[in-house]
Amino acid sequence: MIENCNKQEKLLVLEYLKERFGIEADLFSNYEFYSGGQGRVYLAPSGISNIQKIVTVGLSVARTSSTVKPTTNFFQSFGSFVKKNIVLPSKEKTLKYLKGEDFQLDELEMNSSTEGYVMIQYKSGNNTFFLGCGLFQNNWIKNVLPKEKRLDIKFI
Amino acid sequence: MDPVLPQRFKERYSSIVDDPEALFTCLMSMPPKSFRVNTLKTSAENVKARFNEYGLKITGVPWSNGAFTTDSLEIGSTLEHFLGHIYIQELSSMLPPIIMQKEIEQSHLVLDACAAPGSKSTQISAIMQNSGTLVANDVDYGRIRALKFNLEKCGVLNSVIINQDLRYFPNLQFDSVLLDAPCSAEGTIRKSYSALKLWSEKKVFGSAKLQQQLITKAYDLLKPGGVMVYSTCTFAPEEDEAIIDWLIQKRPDAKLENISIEGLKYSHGIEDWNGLKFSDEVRKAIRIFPHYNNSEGFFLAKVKKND
Repeated sequence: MIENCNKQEKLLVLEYLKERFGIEADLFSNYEFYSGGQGRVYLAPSGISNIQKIVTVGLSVARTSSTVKPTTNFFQSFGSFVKKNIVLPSKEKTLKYLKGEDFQLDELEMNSSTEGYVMIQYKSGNNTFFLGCGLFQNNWIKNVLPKEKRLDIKFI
Repeated sequence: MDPVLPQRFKERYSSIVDDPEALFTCLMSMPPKSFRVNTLKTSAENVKARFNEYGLKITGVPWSNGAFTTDSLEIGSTLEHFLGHIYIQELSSMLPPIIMQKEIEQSHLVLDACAAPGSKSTQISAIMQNSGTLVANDVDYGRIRALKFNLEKCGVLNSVIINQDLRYFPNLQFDSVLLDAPCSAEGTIRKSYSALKLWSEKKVFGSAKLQQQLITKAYDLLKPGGVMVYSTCTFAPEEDEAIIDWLIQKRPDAKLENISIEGLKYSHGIEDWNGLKFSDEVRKAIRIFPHYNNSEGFFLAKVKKND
């Protein structure tokens, strides 16, 4: 069941994104926030209330069931707007992330991040890639990449 | 045992293709791997540069800036695939959104009527630049998961996914409609021998009955002045020209538009088939035989609903 987010839930997500990642709310002004099952919050077009039998809409931004957890797809699409809590693992550790494994970070890779959900970013030459979400705890990244996304990447 | 084309299959299509032996030989060979650049996330230039760094050779096609083929079997092991910067997609399957690109660009509400697993939906959303609303529908709930996965992976924000039998779809009015209809899939024989093993004329006739119902409903969902593309991945005129002819008879305001794709080889729709005579309008439709462009087979028709 997809319905418009109530004000409280929308505010919870927007405040979290602003406080934890420095993402401004006006970035989403062309879209509407929707609430789905299991505490999922989606970003999708407005004015769809006349459409029946909707299974899902747009992009899943976050899950809000216990705490707010941003999705990997959200970071992959909006990563360029994230200003803080970005970790920068080495190539070897990035490959571990893409396979779904946990890994430890050194000081430089932590990039002044605080514990909690972080965005995993990888740089190669002049290119910056926003890979997804991880849970940063005790200098480790706990992998939260969805199983169906995990890949043994050979070319990076 | 190596698969062989049924004699009846050969008999059926020898009369509508310019070089039957070239077609039949091509059908027994694998098509090249191909992919499309997802412009919601990156550009063709970026992808070309990255694949060059990897040492993976990719080759562009003359009819699209964002479509590439490769001999490499490893494009699925690239970071670009993981990130949804590229979408692995058969070349011919990229054509329906391309032939309605201008109409999609001007549309606020677009329907992809048989959308799963989402290759054309992701392409349509890229053309819409994530604006407006794309309704991606599929009757098969089991395939909705793949549709959702692919749309989100490609960064699609403007989608609404519906799980509905198109024949009973609510009466909305769309600016543009794509009906990539379920079919006997003869055009996919190169990559799927199951399509060959399961081939029968009975299957062709069975698909055609459903397609008549689907095209009528899809057309009725179109606003006056709107454009619908009807496509199949089959050669069978019963599922192609005959379905377009059916629509023209049932809906007199339906007019076919000419299709032109520079750099792509194709043939035009046929007016006669096994004693059936179709409207000369069907000549505006096009058929892609696999040996023309080293792709799979496809049929496309562009229909406008007159104001």
